[in-house]
Amino acid sequence: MSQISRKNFLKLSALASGSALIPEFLHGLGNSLLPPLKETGKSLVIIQLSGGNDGLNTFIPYQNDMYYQLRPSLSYQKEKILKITKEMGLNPAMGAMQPLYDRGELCIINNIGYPNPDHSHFRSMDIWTTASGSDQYLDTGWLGRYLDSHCHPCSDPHHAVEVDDMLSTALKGMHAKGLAISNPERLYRVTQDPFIQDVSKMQPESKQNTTKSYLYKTLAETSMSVGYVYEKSKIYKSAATYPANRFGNNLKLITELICSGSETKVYYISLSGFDTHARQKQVHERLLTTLSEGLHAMVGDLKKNNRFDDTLIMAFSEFGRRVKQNGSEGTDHGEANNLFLLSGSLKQKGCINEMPDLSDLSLYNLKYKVDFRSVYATVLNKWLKADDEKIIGSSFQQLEFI
Amino acid sequence: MISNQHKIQHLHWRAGFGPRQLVSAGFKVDDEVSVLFQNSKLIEPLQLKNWDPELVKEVRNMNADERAAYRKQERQARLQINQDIQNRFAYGTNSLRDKMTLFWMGHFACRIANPIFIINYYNAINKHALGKFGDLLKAMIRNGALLQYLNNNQNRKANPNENFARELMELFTLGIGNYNETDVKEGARSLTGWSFDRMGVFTIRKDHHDTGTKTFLGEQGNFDGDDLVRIILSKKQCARFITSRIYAFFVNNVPDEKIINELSNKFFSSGYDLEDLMKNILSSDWFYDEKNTGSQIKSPVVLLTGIIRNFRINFENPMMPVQLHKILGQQLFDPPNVAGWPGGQLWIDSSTLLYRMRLPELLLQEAESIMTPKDEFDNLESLKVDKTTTRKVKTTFEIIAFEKMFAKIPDEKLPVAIMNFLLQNEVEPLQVELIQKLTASDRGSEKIFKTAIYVMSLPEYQLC
Repeated sequence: MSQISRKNFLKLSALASGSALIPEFLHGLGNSLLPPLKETGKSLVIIQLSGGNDGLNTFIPYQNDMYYQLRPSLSYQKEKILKITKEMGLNPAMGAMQPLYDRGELCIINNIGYPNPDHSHFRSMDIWTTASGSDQYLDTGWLGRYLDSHCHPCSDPHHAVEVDDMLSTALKGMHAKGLAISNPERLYRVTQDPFIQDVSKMQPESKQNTTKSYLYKTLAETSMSVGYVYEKSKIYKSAATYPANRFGNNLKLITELICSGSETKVYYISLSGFDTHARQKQVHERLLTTLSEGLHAMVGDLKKNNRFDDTLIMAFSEFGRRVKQNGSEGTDHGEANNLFLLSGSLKQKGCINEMPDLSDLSLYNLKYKVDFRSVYATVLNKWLKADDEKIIGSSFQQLEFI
Repeated sequence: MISNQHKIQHLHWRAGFGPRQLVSAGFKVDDEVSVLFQNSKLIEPLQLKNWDPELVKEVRNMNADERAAYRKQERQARLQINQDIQNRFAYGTNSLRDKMTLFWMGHFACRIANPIFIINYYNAINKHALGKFGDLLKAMIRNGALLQYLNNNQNRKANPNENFARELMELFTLGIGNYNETDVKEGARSLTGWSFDRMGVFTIRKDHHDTGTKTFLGEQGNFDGDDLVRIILSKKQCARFITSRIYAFFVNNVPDEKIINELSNKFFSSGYDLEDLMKNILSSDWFYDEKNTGSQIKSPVVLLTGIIRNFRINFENPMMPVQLHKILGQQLFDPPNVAGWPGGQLWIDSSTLLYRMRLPELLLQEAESIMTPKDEFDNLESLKVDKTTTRKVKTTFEIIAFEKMFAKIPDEKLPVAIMNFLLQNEVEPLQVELIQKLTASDRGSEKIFKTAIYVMSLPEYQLC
């Protein structure tokens, strides 16, 4: 499908003499030339919790004495925890998530990590975004490589949209790259600048200079993809209440794009501030409230528009935090963590594997039992119907949650 | 056929940060090469300003507020270093040494926070940038920042940490596939106890050093770090690996095996003389071939420096150059990982391309910035309603020098003349026409200035 849209775009833009034609053309493209892809297409939404989310205080093992022993002042009193299973409860700030769990829309995987864990935010996030081993350095991201493999060379930037100004490594492939866009209208105005429009139509012949061709190709794709996202962002406007902050706005934009039938396959969004070395509780609760309320609103919107069955949301963090609290009412960088998914088509619901083993720690850190690349492999293979082994670089066990 | 003007400009883009002036009639490539090497003789260590490194000793006794103040001061000092380096790149006369330094900062990639560690790392690289590679390598395996970044302070006889030994071979000298896991283990043993003090000064912790016999890359002995360097340098593969990296950075991302072979043989015979290697590259004919000119995507630092130096841009907010480096994806002392900046086409995605094309307007015409850097791990920007960062970059700049170069050029020839100076690609007639149309009503200096901004906003300006 995207191949057709690219070709048409280039053909038409070569014929079009004025830049005024572009938005109209793209509008027409959205309505007539393209069938509404979303009816069969699935979307994946990745939420990056930056800084190292304290998974133990997110999904709390409230029956475990070790949890209370190692966290004398950072643990939550049993009666305040929102219990979801006999062993696990939600942080009191996550009230908005409880109905999602009750309806079987939430899946939690414990003990997620990778061998030889790295305690640096940067390195560990690098490992997660590139899906590398901890002794391996990759330049491209796992979702970027999905774009590369998906239908190279026709993957357009808007097939993977990050709601941010800067593009994460996760969405950078060698050939195809996602689109970072935080304010579609503002970026659209930039691409509509007459000079940029005129130049992007020139496409000078340069057989020898492939780098130059790459720049012009990127420019043309950018212009098209930004136009595409901008047009889509105008179609559906949510009436739901999202958290009144940037994360809330960004989540709302993603929901609106999904509900508008955008052909975007992957959405990426970050919530930062989880690096809670001191006075953790207050900050962590604010973040979890925003996350839960945002997801609550999003799921409601998606269901109202019959999109929730075709949407898979995954939230991860680069590592968990140390089980033992530190001397400043906070926690230091840890290792294994939990990860959660939301969708209307989960095959496994609730807490799907064993609880974290607090009696078997490595220097007060949780040990990993499930490699995060197993989750990626499952999502790539079962949800995006892609070749997970080729994209990740080796074979990881398929899980059963979808 | 590449014109003499473009050849000389090519030299300045690749062996520096772009030409400062128009090439006058009679300028010769060879003369320019000699001047570059002549100027590169001078080694000037960068001084640490606004920072007392002794403060680091007090940190453990500080309370939370004092510690916050300390971190703030530390940030300021880091900023100062970045500014000083940006100024060197833009205005210094030692372009070749500076460009080599930038190359090595990507090669010996290292993420550093402590200002004294940064200064020592930068000065060590700058000092050996054009010397013998062996001296540079010996300085690097003694460098506090690198030892810290690669966890060698945790590499002890009782419990070896292989990180440094592995990267020493994989990324710094031989490349993957030219050593085995035993070499990594034995290399790590040889480096046990090699550490640094609080000021980043190299120390050997004798108690932690393994004095047993090691087998490393086919040799046996009671080795330490210097022995590893000696053994590694005896392998021709090391010369080849370094030559390939230099070729990719200075000449072309696409390797030319024949040329790399010849260069690396000479490099090896010269005892790893970097100046000699660079002379062989910059004085060769093939360096100026069409396939090697105007084909490389400028790194963010090179792109920004090129504009700054032509217009002598001053930033009202001293944070700005660092912010711009960050937005465009190349923060000094903060590479994405041990492998350095991947570079090439990975510099460019939709947002960075638009940002790069609007950079001249942003710096010279107060256009609105469309990007802000990504959030740090510990800040709560996502919970705010909107970012508070200013969207305009306030600058002052000079256009006199630039204008002077083109003052005598008749209006109809102006776009081509400016394009020939600012771009390394052949002039596209359609673009000339477009710029002529857009500046038709402008006269004199205004016309020169506007033409320059349009030319620098073309995709071709991203190339050198």
